[in-house]
Amino acid sequence: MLTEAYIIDFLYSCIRLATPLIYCTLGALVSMHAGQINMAMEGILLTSGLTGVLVSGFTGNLWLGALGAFAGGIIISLIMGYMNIVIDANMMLCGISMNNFASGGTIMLLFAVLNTKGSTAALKSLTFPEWDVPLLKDIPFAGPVLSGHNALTYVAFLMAIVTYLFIFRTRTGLRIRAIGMNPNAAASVGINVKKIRFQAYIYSGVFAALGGAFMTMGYLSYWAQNMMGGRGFIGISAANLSGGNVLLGTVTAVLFGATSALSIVLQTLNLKPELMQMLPYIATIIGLVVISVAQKRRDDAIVRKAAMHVRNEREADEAKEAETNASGHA
Amino acid sequence: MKMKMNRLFVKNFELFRTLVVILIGFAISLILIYFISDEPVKAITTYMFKPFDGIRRIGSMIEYMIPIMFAGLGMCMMLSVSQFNLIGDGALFLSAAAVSYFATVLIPNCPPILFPIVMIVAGALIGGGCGAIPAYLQSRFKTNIVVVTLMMNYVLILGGVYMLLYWMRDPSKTYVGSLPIPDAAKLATIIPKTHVSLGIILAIVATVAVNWFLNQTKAGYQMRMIGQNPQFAKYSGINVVKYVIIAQVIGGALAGIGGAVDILGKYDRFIWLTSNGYGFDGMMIAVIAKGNPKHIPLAALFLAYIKIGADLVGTTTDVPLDFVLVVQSVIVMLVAAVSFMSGVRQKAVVKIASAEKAGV
Repeated sequence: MLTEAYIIDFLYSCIRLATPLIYCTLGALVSMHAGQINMAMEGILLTSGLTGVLVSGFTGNLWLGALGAFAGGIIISLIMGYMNIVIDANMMLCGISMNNFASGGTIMLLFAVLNTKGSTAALKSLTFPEWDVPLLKDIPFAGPVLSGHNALTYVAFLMAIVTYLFIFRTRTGLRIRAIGMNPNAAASVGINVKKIRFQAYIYSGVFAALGGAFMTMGYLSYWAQNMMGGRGFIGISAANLSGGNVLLGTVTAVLFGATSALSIVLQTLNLKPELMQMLPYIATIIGLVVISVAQKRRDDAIVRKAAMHVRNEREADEAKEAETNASGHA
Repeated sequence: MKMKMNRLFVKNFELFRTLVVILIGFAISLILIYFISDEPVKAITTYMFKPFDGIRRIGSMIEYMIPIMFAGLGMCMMLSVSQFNLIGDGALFLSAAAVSYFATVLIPNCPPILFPIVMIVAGALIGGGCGAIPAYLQSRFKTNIVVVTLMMNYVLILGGVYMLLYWMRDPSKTYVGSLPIPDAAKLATIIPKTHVSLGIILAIVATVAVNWFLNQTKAGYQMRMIGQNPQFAKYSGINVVKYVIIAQVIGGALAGIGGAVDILGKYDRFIWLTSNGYGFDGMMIAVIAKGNPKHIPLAALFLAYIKIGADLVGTTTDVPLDFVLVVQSVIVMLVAAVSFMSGVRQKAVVKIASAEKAGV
């Protein structure tokens, strides 16, 4: 049962299934650093997936398809930004609504363009190629796991580095972090908070759009209605778990990808698929609980330390006072 | 005269704004249909007028109102303590599945009259249990309630489908459906030729009850106080965690009742395989009603109107009915947008103030 080929297969699909989650996590991280939760991730995946497929199908050009996916992600981000930032609708409500907007909007767009309902199976669209990494592919065990993935999978890991550099090494990234930490302070030094918040939404839309492109132009070769199955939300959770750390976020996304892979493996083992499909969602909830327990522990430890420090200081002061009193009497 | 209008406008600004948003939403739906349909005139007249065409169609609007009123009331409870608990969707689904399982397999021989009551109580308990989990996790561990409830919704819906497929599926049918629900369990139909059941009366009773609870009882007052200012509530001695959880349990229970009532009033078998979106509908009408249970029936009627209109458009013309989701989302966001139309209001206020200064 647990042969080497089987394990290789499993690890390979972990990475494959983690790819869209990594993109979503990166997108969510960018908006998280700006102090906002981009709940529309799921809608961005869905929209960018469709626009990518449509553009690549009609133009026959993969790069234009990728641009189409970006456009789809950016449009959803723009509407979200307008509703949330310009006319001040609640962020969570906007996100939830944008997901439904995308769910209905994509079906309408598909119908308007192709006159079909449900999926783009009828349209011959392009997919990103799979890459055999030279040298790496010849290494036993690691080769078949890490090589032969879709190009966008490698781009995902590359984007993790790009995201890190973007958030922590660029001017825009600094501004995003500044408004996330304290918008008033940022405004007081002349940062246009609304503009940066808008930008953060757009960047997070761009990152997530690659995830949508992967889903419809790599993982599958077509778009189907409501196909994302909560991947956007899992990405948001992974970003939450990482506490803003890009490396940790990527690792978490891969772990969530592993639960999806596990769920698929268990389904093929004749276990009830409905129960096994629950796994990634349950893992997400457990993850959120575990991390908040850990955070609470850490916060408590800090508070304890601070309290101890204060007490020590007070005791030292009292001792000193007693000493001076004693010497005064003498 | 003009001044009077201005005052009236400022005083009822929220109402005006909601009406404007609803008009905008309606206009968007017409524009969408117009551009997408090959026969726009037919599609638009279907959308606008067909829902009122005959007792059966009006009946289907009222049928649609029943579950979404419960879901909306549940959401009002969540919003009263300022929690975006979206468990309504999953709670409603699971409770509908569980009630069907109880009625078809577990206790199909329950005495009449008592039967629907037991079923509705069961639905309430299941819904309440669903509401309690995210509420507890949020209060105890500060987990993001939106993410947790959305994840839980996937789990609960898969659970409901599991119950249908492995516990109560009727093997003699080619389609996926449960065993038939016994007649003794069903809620009586009150309008002939439709499926409008006693459920609508229960929904109105629930509206009155939730309104009374939130506005007339001590617990309800404390919940609203927590919703408006949790810090203040905490320092005035209210057990915030307790009331936040209780409110969400009640909210989940209402959604659960909605699921039970929908199944017992409208269906012969349990046949759901995916969410019907009642949760989002409930959130939408709660937002339109500004969390005030009094306005839930009207908001539900409006939503039922556009939903049934869209449904008819979807079945009789070429347009897919999903355009209604776009319209719903835009309405939700614009109603919730604090600054939307605030400029217009500001102008009116300035006019009144300057007129007063001039001594009118």
